[in-house]
Amino acid sequence: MERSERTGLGLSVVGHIGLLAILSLNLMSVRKMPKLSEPMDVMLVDKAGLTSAAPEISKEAPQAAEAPEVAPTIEDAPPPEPAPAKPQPAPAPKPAPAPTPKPAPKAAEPPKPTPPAAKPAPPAPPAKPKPKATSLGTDFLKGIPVDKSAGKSTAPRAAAISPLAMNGLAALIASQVKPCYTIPAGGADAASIVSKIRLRLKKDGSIAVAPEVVGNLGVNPANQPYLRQMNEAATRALQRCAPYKLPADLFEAWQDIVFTFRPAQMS
Amino acid sequence: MARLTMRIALVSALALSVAACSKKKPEELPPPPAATAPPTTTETPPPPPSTTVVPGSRADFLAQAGTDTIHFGTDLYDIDAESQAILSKQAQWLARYPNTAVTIEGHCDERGTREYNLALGERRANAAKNFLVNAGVAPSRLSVISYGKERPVATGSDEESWAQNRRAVTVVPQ
Amino acid sequence: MRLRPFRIFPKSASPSPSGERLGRGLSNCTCARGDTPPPAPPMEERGVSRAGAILAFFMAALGLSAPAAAQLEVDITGGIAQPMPIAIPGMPTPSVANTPAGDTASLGQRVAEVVTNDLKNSGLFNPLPKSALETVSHPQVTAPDYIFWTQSGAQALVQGFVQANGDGSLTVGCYLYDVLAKSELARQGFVVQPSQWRRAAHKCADTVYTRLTGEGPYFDSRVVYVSETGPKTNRTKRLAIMDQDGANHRFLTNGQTIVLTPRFAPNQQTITYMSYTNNRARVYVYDIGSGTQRLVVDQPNMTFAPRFSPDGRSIVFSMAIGGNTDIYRVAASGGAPQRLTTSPGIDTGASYSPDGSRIVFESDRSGTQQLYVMNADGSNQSRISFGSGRYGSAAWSPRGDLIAFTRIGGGFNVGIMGVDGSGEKILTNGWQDEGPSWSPNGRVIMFFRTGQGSGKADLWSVDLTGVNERPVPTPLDGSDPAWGPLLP
Repeated sequence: MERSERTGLGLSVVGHIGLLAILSLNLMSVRKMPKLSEPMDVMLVDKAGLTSAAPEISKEAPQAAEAPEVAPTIEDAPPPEPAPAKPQPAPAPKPAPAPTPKPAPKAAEPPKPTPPAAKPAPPAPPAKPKPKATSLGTDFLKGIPVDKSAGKSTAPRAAAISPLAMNGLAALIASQVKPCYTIPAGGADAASIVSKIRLRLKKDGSIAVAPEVVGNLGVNPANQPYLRQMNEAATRALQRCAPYKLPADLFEAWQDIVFTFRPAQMS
Repeated sequence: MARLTMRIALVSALALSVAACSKKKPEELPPPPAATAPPTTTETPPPPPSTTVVPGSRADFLAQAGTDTIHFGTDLYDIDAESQAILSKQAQWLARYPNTAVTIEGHCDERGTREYNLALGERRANAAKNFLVNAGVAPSRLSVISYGKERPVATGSDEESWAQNRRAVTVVPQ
Repeated sequence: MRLRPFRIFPKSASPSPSGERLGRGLSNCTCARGDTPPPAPPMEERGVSRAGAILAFFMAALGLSAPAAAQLEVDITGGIAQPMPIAIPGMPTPSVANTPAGDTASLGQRVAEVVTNDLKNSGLFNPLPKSALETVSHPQVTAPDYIFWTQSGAQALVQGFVQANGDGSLTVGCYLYDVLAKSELARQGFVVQPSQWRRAAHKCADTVYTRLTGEGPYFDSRVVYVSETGPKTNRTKRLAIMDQDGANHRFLTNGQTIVLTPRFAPNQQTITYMSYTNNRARVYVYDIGSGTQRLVVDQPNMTFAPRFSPDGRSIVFSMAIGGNTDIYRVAASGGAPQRLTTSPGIDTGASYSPDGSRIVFESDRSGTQQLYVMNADGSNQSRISFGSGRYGSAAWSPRGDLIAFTRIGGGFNVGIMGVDGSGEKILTNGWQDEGPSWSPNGRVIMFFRTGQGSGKADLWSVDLTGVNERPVPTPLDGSDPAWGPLLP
């Protein structure tokens, strides 16, 4: 090797090592990856909720909650009776004792038969007995209307299950049925047959009445021979995936379902 | 991570140091390939067997006409110049032995469907027959048959084999 | 389109085959989408429900959900196309008896195996493996053990029995059950001679297949084809016949002369084909019963590519005269042929429509091989193939709706198209796939595939949808398959 070649080679080796050193020093400081936030469940809802699910806001003063029985004069201070949960108006502008509505829908016992509600039932303020001599301060009744309120409004429960909740329910059921929906690989035209199947369920999610075909769409002379098989595929899907895990408090919503099976969109 | 980088650095350094870019031209070039002598054609027909060739027989035909086969282009059934020369020689032989009836077979390569190739083979055989008739051979002596792709002579699936299989054969009885 | 008001109907007992009839339910009105509107209710119902109907109509039109008293609607879109899991346990016998085909107990096992293979090879069923089956006793044949079968994962169950009758015949019983609904779907019994036990099994498989898929039957049928062996330059070709599952295979000719393109007569008593007997390429009819062959057209010219008409009374074939090939028709019993095409090109490969009124064939009159359709008398010839490539070997489906063909372009592929040439779809992907032939129900296509270089040909079949491409087992190589009609 000639001298000039040697120097050149040496210089280039030195240069490369230097570059690598710089880069590796850079990489040595490990940077922390930003933490990803927890994924949020998103539910795509087809129908907009045109009926409000929020109960009406009463314009009158809320009806005073009354204890079912007036506590007897205290000699032996019986324990206060817990008042039964009564239908209450939603947050009126009053702070305390305005109860906060609970987010989870509870099926409270309605005083009269009404459609099932997703209405939060706020707990009634506890009725306090009025002892003659207590450790309570004289202003403990502050905020509690002593006078009987003139207002008589008992705001009704929500008139309907909100479409939002309905769609959530439909999506939940669909997700449980779909994995069981298999169809025979057939002529392309058979896949345009739409089957409407009615299913009635018991409270535990199992089938109460066997699925029944209630209608068909998309049947033409070419795919008519496959009608029965496509209906059976839909019926079989419902039978295979039973029993279904559905919220018990919405039972009245899902006890009677009409499914529309469209085989055409192949997954 | 840093250790890996150092390893990479070391390896590249080693690689660089041994990549001696020697630019010296080789002292001598390797000798050029020797010029190949043109292949000698030693395909003279083998001497006839001890029994003499019977005049008017197939062996005689082959000896005199040279070959019994003409070839065609893909999907074609026209007689090209080379085929014309061959067929002319065949016609001359046929004129000398006017009592001999021959069969002309048409063949195709494998790149056609069964029925179509039967028809195409017939076209080729018929084209050869027409040429012979024009060259003076009586048509009643010439019968035509097609074997489509059923009887290839070359077994490969390549252009060369296919070219050999696209043919018309004049078959003289033994 | 005028929107019809929504009407409430009494619950329907069974679904109507067309249009939409709804049971109870106010909220699933799809009237706006052009569906057949429901028929009008009887007069007395109108007054009662009109107000409610109008209200429901407006609410539906606005896309609102009905009040919660109505049914919940759930849409399920997209089914998974999957073979159906089915259980086919061995078939018991009420009492073991000996027959020329074996004892009835082993016959019961074999019948179940034939049914299993038929259903599995159709590609639409997934029979449970033997290890997942339980032994079925004779009383259980009509009273299935649903508890076991439900947990086995099968959706359908085939049970049966084999019984020897006093007169030497066999009775094969065949029962199909829906495991999930716990109900019987179909039952059939077949009385056969012991030597024909396989036919009873195929008929049982057909009963199951048609009930569960809606297709026509095809398992009880035979295939005639050319069995090949030997080097590429000198193949030995013999006519052979077998059941569609490869059983009962039999050679019909000895291979001394080349035979090509055999086709069944509709009554399956005879086969027409082309043979090089006496060094001449001519069309013959072979009688399966007597084993004799008869010349159909006595002409000096080459005749080939024959096919029977659907009524069995005519044979359509190709004849080459002076370098020009045309299509002719002749009475199956023989006689003077009637010429159907006159173009100077090659016209060949004729195939009748199932009603016998039209013929599809290939012609290169346009310059390249293409498909044409004409009336059975030769009139009204029009081209139907306009895709890229060349098209030949047409075969009209027994259902009448499709034409199978070989497309040549690069390699050969088997495909299907509508009878007007629309909807062309290529089904296979081998190097040289050609010569399609339809199963009797128009669902499966058999063809032959040639290996590159080796020149070895084998029989294959593929489903109409392009799936389930599989080899057909033959003792030697095979080509030119022709699927016969369903046996009565």
